[in-house]
Amino acid sequence: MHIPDGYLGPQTYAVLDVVMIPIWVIAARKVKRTLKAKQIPLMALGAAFSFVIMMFNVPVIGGSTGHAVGATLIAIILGPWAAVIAISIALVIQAGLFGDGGITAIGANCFNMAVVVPFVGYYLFRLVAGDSPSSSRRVVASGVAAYVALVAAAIVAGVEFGIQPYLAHTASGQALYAPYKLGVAVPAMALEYLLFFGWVEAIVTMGVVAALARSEPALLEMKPAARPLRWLWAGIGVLILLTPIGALAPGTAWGEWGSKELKAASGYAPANLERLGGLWRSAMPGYATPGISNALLGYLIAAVVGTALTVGVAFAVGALLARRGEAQPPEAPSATRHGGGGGRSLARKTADSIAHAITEVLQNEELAARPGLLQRLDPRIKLLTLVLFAVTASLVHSVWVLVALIGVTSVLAAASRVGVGSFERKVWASAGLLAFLLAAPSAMQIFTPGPVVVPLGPFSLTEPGLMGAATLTTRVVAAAGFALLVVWTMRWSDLLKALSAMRLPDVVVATLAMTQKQILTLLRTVEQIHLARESRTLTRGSARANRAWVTERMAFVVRKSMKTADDVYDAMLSRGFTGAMPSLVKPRLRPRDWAWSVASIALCAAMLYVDRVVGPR
Amino acid sequence: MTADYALEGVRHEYRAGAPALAAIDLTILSGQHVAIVGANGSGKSTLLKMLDGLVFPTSGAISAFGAPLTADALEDPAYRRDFRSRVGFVFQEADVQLFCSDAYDELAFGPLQLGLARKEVERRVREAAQQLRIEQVLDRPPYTLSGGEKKRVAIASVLTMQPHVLLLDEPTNALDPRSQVWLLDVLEVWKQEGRTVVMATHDLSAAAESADRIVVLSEDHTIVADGTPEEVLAQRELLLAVNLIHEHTHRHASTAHKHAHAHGPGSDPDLAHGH
Repeated sequence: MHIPDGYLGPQTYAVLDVVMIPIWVIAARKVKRTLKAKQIPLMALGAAFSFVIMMFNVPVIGGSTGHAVGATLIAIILGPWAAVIAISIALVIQAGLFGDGGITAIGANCFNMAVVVPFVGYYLFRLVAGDSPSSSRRVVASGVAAYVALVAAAIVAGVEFGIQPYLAHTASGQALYAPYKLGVAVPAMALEYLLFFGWVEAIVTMGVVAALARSEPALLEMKPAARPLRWLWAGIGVLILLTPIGALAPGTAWGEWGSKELKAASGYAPANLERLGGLWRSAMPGYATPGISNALLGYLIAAVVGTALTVGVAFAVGALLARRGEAQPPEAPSATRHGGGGGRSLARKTADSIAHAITEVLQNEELAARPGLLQRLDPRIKLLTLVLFAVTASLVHSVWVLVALIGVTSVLAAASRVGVGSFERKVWASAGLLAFLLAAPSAMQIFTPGPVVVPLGPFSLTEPGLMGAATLTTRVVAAAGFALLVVWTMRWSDLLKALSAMRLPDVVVATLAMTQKQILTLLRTVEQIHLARESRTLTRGSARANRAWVTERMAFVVRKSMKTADDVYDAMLSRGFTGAMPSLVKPRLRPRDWAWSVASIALCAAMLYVDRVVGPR
Repeated sequence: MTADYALEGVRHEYRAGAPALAAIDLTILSGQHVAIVGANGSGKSTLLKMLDGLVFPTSGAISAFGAPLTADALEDPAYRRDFRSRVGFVFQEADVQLFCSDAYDELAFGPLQLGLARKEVERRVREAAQQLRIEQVLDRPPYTLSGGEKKRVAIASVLTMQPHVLLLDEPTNALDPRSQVWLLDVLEVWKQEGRTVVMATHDLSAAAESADRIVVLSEDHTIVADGTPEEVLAQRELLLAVNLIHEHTHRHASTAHKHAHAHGPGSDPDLAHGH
């Protein structure tokens, strides 16, 4: 659910970035009041825990594995407001350290995963668990809450994607950002999470809650009972989340709306739905059930196609990356691997992915220490100008200007000595390929009507469709390039100093610093646990046994996180911690920083000007 | 000689009925080097945390530098500032103690919290870094440091506060033999400077080498021996009973024999292991 840059237009990401600010401020105040000075280590460990949870591979069905977000779990343990901060921090670190999720889209990602999930999850958990001390009821409640909360977040993300075609398109109907409208994007996201990721989340949450109920019930202790008024708010919140669905179906029962209602509700021309419906009828004439409009059938097909596509793409990319990983195994002695179909065991898989993450962080430190163009700049200037480039890439309409911006990323990568080959591979193979595969079907006439360029019967490609797909792909590649430059040329400690110099509160910077360090410590521990298991494993256990083992280990990570939070807090107190985190370093701007700033601003302005002249409106 | 600490009938329970410390009477004089030894779980770490004002007695009383050391007293900013600047704690796990973004900030953390002037903070950081030979790693984030470097940074980050009392929890753990020798040298320097050192360890040889007093905690969390290293190490039966040494059978040519044996990284076999 990590939305990369390029999929959301400026109207959407800017609004969500701005919306997150008061939410963070309120959350910080609430947390400060309840946790006092201890907030820093507790938040940091909460965030580190949330990050590490995402690294665990959980067996689901038929040998497939997925990973959980763990946001409901964190909300249950820390309370929803603390969860907002902890998960936001985890997301910022994922974006800043691993390039997972976009820079401009940080507000959207935080809103979906760090606000929607913890609040829906926490209050639903309270509702279902009631005041009952029964641990089995709590386990079930946590599963229900985790499932619903994640699906709710997926729907919200679907809405964010789905409103893009309405907010921005050219006169010819060419999409500029995410190309699928609400009718496709929302069901596609919802189904994916209803059918797959929601279950992973529920399994993980239930497993950890059950393990904690046995070993550390104090962690699950309910905060003092909330006032009943809060339920009202929770209800209103759920209703708000459901409005996009409601908006599609005014006056009609759920799932029974036809093209007329759709048009009335959203202004979304159902011509393509009618066409799809017709397609369905012509393909399977005998199955057209009387009483259900053809547009609805078309709509459902579109939804299923969309879901199949996204799930398929996700799996294909996963398999592709996994195979690449297998092709160059990280010098693991083959004796520790066992046969059984040639696949890697669960423990080995998780240990490998964790080892990979650790290597990546250390490797980034090395890249960031090279004497290149960007590395020589003041971290604040570097961060601000790269964000400026990312924003420029989001404002541009013309594919050609976007291609020019991709050129800028390549030049900067070369000038910063980060290895242009690996830079391009990373940008194109992960971000670019995914965007292309996702956007390709939108070039078809059924999704984007317009003059046909490549006639393929019902799957004909239209000109605005192709241009839309090209725009999305180039935009995503350009934005991913700038994001990767931040990740690769900025040492984490410099980034923290930049944030601190930009007047971000000490507490936030200190928490970020501690989180990153604790993530690495926790990751190392978890890697060792997995390797230890791997070394003692002779046969592959059942999926159920593996699930039980994985969730037990996650519960261990929770306990270890909380214990470490206590210890770190003691260590801070011991050195006279008063609640403030002053820093000695006051970076100064040098002439080259100013020159670079002026050049960047001029370049971005020029790109935007050219785009206004040549770009499609 | 004045007493830095006085503990009377101190008991501490994390959970009711399960004491981590019981009936502790202990006076620590200024300038003394005290080793607290005991098996895992005997309460050494809890005792150190208590001396650092991080946990407080469930019953009994503790005073530091002549004034009662209580949670309430530490709420007072002036008292807290005074107490924290006098006592430094080097935690067992450097990963816990190093919470800043790089080693420089780590060393500066304590003095900045004490509210010292920028110039003074910079001077202290330079001095401590020189003393522990970590100038080269000052700009590096803690997670890129080796185990020995982390320990040095952790110790330096406490030294910048120029404490009179140093509390060390298992200081030789995770150190290679050379770093252990280095640490013993550092302890010797502190002795010359007249600092008080309280170190918790289960490494009898390190205790014997650097401390001028050994306090033995038993597995039921009470003090069972207190004296000079010679006095304490002579009590073989007692050390066996508290699990600090164990019967060890081995063969010399054709005869097998048993004797007490101490373990610990870098432990000198001749200390507790006479033939």
